[in-house]
Amino acid sequence: MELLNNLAIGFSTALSMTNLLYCFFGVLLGTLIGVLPGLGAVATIAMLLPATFSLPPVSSLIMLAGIYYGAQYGGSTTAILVNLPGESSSVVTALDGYKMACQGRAGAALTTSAVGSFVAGSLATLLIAMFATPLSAFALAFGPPEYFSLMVLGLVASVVLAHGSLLKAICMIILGLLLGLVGTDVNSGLSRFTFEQPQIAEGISFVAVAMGLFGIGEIVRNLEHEAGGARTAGIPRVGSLMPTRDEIRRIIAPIFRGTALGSILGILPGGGAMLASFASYSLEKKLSPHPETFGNGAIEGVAGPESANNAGAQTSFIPMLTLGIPSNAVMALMAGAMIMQGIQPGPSVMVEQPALFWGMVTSMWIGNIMLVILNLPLIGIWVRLLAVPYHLLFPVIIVICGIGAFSVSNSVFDIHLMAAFGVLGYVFFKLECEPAPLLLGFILGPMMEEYLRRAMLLSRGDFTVFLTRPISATLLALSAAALALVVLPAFRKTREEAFHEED
Amino acid sequence: MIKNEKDFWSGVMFAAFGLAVLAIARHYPFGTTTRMGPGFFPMVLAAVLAVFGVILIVRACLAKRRDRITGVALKPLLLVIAATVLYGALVEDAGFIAVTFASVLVAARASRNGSVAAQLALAAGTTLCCFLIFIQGLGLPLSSLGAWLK
Repeated sequence: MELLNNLAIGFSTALSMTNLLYCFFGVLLGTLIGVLPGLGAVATIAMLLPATFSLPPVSSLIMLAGIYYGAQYGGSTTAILVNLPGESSSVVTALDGYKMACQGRAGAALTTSAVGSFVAGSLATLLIAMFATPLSAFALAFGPPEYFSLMVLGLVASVVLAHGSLLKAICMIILGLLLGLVGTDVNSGLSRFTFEQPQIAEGISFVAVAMGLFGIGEIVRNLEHEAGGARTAGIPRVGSLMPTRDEIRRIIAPIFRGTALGSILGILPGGGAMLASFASYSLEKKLSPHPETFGNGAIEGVAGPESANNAGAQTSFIPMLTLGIPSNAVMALMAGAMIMQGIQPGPSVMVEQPALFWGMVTSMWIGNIMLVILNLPLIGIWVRLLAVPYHLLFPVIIVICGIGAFSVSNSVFDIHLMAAFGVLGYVFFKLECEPAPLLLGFILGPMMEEYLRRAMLLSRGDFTVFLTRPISATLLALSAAALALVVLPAFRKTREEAFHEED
Repeated sequence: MIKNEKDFWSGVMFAAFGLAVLAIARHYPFGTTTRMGPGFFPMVLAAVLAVFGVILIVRACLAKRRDRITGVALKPLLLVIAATVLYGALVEDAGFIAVTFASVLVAARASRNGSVAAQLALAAGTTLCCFLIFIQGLGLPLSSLGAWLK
């Protein structure tokens, strides 16, 4: 069987001592980041990108992936214990998880969350393994017009499922695409938008952009709402980790439903983990015979969303790994990491680098096991870390960002560039412009231009090529439909409501 | 009077950026649709961006709903950025140790919390840890003392 063969290749890579170690580092750091206040997965991965450049590509990607799903776990811990979701995807977990903690059932909630995440993570990993081969084979038949249309669809979908104003999000994408074009044009050798600065002749440093927008900008944003004093007060006792018999019976179905829902929504661009957890919560509430218990410590309200967000986090790798199209900011960073390692993300990765591809997929499953071990017995350590006050944390983050920006190409210029993007990040926040679409555009900018150019060359300047080729036309039709959906009043209303719960 | 300030200033930002790109990119060869020059893609994108920016401005002027920009954290912003720029400006001349210490101190002022003693301890601790990890451990090519102190 091909699937088993592929998994065997994967395990032989992922189970090497070095890769196990980096996987462990990744999930450990991820959990730490998820637990620490005010540090998101995007900022952390951006911060640690430079440190992984010296590693072999597969180890660095395994570690970065570990940080991502580790942060999902850690985020739930804080959501349950102190009602502070560390990640946007664990906002829903806080609703019932924290109520359970107040009733002395924190341990059961944490176990539910860990077990649910593990089941979801395992099944979603299997799903990636099954879907990756056919999707890649399909994508290998793509020509330049199809790729261009696929990128259009990816960018459009990321906007539709993101929150906030549609027009602003589209503007942010275009801004990102333009920023991505800075540097030497590969076709003509002309330096574009470089203002004769040799440091950006190769393009703007991706790390500087990501760390500025998501690291530095985020710090200022957190400081704006900084309250006095530490938040040590009111961390409830964890209590027994074992759920009761009745609770075990009640969580099984929500875990599987959440996994299914999360796996599907995770594949969609822009949605990923957060959307999945919201959808699962409302589904469980609708299906429950006692919907009134939701919001008052219903264990189903922890099990469903927690499984969904972890499944979504895993399957959001599918479009990036098979098609080369990142579906959210974290995936954009992963794609950036691959590019900096000299690997062009896309369908050819699986064919040319099977060990890298399958090693990464299987490492996710191994990482999920590690997370269960890390989180349940060691919960006491994480609880203590919850008490680290933000004012002792952010100056350290700034210094590490500075070192990180410098180390990519040993250039002081990149530190200043990061500072500039930090200001921009805060301006975007104040103007309610989401920075994630900008990052997607930034990664896709040069690729989109190149595919457009090739498509036009092949069609001798005929723009209808995008509509006459069936796959390309379908992709563009889907993009148009997605945009039309947002403009429709009915959908617009539910979309706004769905995202309002989060604020 | 503009009611929706957030949309208005977003529009101004996007329109200005679009126009600036148009002004620069018009010097690049545009090419034909068959053979797109280096100016083609940026010109098209920038034009769309500028138009969308103007739409945002117009929409904000017509908006009925109030959406003001409030609570700009100017002091934290300035201090955080100052700490970052300081790091970049001085890391080669003052050296890793001095600049790390100074940056943490400047950054820590951005918070309302924490005493001066705690901030000094934090700066010292961070400097020591970063020195051990990045200079000794990872061998980052930065001088620990810098040009001034040598």
